[in-house]
Amino acid sequence: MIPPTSDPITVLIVEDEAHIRRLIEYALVTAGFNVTTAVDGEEGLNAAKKGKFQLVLLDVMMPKKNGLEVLTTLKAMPSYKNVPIFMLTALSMVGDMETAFQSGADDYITKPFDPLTLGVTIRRKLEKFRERSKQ
Amino acid sequence: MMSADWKKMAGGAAAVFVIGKAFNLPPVGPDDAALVRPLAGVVLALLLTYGARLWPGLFIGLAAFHLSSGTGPWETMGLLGRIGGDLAQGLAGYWIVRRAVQDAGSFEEANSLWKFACLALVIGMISPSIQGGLHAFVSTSSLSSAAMTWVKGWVGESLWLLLVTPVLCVWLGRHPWEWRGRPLVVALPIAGSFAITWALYGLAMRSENALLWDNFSRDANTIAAGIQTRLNDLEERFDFIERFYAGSEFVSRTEFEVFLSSFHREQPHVEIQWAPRVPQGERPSYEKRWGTTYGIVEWTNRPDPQPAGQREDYFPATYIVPAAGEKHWAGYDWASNPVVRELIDKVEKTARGAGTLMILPHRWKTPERYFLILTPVFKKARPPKGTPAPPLAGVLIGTVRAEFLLEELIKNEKMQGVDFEVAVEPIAPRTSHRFVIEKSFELLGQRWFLRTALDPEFIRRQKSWTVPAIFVGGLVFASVLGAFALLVTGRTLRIAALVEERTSELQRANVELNRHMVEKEGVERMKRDFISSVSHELRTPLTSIKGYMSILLRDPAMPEPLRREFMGIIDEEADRLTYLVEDLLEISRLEAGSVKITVEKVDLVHLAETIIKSVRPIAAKKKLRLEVDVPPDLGPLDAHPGKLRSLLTNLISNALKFTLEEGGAVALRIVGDSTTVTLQVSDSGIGIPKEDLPKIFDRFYRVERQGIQVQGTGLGLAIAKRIVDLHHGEISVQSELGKGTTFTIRLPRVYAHDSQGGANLDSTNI
Repeated sequence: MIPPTSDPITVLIVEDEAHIRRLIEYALVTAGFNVTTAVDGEEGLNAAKKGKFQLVLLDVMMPKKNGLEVLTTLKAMPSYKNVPIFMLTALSMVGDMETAFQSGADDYITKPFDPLTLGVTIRRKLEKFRERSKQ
Repeated sequence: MMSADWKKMAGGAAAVFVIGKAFNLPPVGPDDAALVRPLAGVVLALLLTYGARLWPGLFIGLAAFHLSSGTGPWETMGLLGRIGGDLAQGLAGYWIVRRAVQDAGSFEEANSLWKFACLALVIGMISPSIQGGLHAFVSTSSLSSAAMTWVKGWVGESLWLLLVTPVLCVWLGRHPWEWRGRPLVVALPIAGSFAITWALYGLAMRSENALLWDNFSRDANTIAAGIQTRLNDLEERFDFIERFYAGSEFVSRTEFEVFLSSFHREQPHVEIQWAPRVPQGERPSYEKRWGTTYGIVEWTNRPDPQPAGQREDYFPATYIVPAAGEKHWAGYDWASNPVVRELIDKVEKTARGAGTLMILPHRWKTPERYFLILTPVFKKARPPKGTPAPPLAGVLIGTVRAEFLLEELIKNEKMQGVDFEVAVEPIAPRTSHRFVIEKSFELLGQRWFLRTALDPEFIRRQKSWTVPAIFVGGLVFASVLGAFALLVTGRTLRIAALVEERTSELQRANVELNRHMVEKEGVERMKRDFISSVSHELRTPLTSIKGYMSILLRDPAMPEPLRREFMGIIDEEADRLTYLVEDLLEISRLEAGSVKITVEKVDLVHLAETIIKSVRPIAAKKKLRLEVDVPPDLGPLDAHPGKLRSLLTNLISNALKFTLEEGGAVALRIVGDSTTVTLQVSDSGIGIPKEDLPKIFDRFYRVERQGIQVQGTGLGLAIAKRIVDLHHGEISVQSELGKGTTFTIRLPRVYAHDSQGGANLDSTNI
């Protein structure tokens, strides 16, 4: 377990499947992130409004408010315009990713994922995101 | 409705009357009247368009027309014949045409036109036959002239039927496919050729009449001149004879006869008599000398001549040539006739000849009209004008039968059919003759009146066939043109109709095709959605299993409770995956195309018991009550036992799952009547929100509620619905949040097999 750094990245995880949520939470906490979870889109939006996060992990397939809706809502919010939002997807629908990127998603993580390397993967994607933002 | 009928009838009556009158114009002669009545066509067209109910109106119109036209005699029979004939022909025609011709009324097919043409020839016989038949009762015209009338009638009626009926039907009718220009295109050539025909007919008729008139007036002049000439000639001859008499002191009988014999040979029909003046005093000696039976006689009412009365003088017929006339005329005192007496006085005064036309009595025959010429003979030579006349010696009288002279004249001129009249008074005109010439001239001190007329029979015979033939020919030509126009327009209409039909067919097919495409797209979309849902559903537990497993493998130093927790999750997700795969396979099987189930007679009581037994432990664990209400006399149900069991088990498990409060109840109730079995599974659980109710039977639909973990594949109710559908049943749900949910299934007791074969024969039996 990587010990928590002095400045852990705050990440919001919005995922309806409990076990997956737990898995991601475990993986990211172990990787030194500051994790907040939400069980569905609505809760996720409330949490996002209330708190301040540096990264949002958003599941695509969710009942009620699905991931894309949450994505567009977040990106419309000025506080989250520049915050990276990564989609969690099983890559079931081909068109979904295109729509997601058009709606403003910054990257994606496929399921199933290796929880042991999840943190590293996310950090690398964050780097890429920062580089892109500088341009 | 009634008023519309009245309007139509009035319209029909008016149409018949107006059209009949319109075509009654000159130059048509009365003989050709039958050819120019288009009534047959009008009547039939009206009947075909508006129906047989129109007949009273048509009757009124026909009656009005025939009564007012007076083209024929006014006898009731004749009138009835015409009105009845026309109406009967119309009605019979209507009946015949409706039965024989398919599109009677629109005349689009070539077939119907040909058929109608043949029928018209038959129908056109009806009215002339009726009229001819009734006419035979009242008239005595010859068979040939009656036949002529019939033929003209038949030709006229048939032609007008051909000409008018199709055109009027097209004008008046309503057709399935409207072509506004059609009536015009059909009517114009007919109208044009008909106008030309009419004009030609008029011209031909006029020239024929003019020719006839020229011939007639020439002949009339010839006859009149002939009469004048003959009479003049006779007078001259008499002058000549008179001179002979004047030249001789005394003319004996023999001398008379000899002198006149050559004249007589020349003109055998002229009788010449010498009537000397016999003063009263000389009567006895005259009578003694000539010794005629009666002496000087006169004619009275009595059949025999009577002795002449006492008069100043007598003019008895003494010499008579030809001798045969003696029997009749000898001794007859011409002066006893007042007309002759007048003439004698006149010729004595004027010393000139005179003539007249008079009826002379005849002893043995009926009195006849004779031309009479008197020439005076004086004792001395004819005195010069101005001097007083010497006494009259006698008169020469020439008589010739008027009819004979006229016949001779007319025969000479080869004039058959000429009526000739001559008189000394004006002749009263007779109106029945059309060709009449009246003349008068002065001759023999007399005004003569002549009247020449052509016998109507004669005129009829003179008229050639050319003129009616022109008319008939024109009508035939117009009919052919009309038929051609009808055929061409009919074909166009049919083509247009076909095109429209095909177009709408194509449109319908297009719509069908679009519908199918949309459906197919929908199906494709559904499949895509299904696949994406499935892959998502499969990947989720896999993610968990792989994820947790990799943590466990890499981190042996994990605290035991965490390890246990993670291993439990793996186990759970593996189970979940298993159920999911099974359910997926099940729903795929159930939804594969035309699936049929094998049904048996299921004992519901037994089934209920089995299910309840299997779920009792779960109920007991959650401390929930199980209620079962299954009457023992339920009777069997046609069903697939396994599927029915899994259906009920699923519902009951759901009910147990969603009832969280201890002490809650889950109930199974089954009722049945003769045709239907109703199964109900109800719980007192958390209920389903109203907005979710319509969607709960959708695949992968899981009701999400805050804070409540819902396990399950989301396919259970979809499978349940499918099973119910396969049993031809219905499933419905009622729910109230917080109170509970009830699922109701209705199944038919007897499974109705499809026509595609029984439940046992399909290859995809499950």
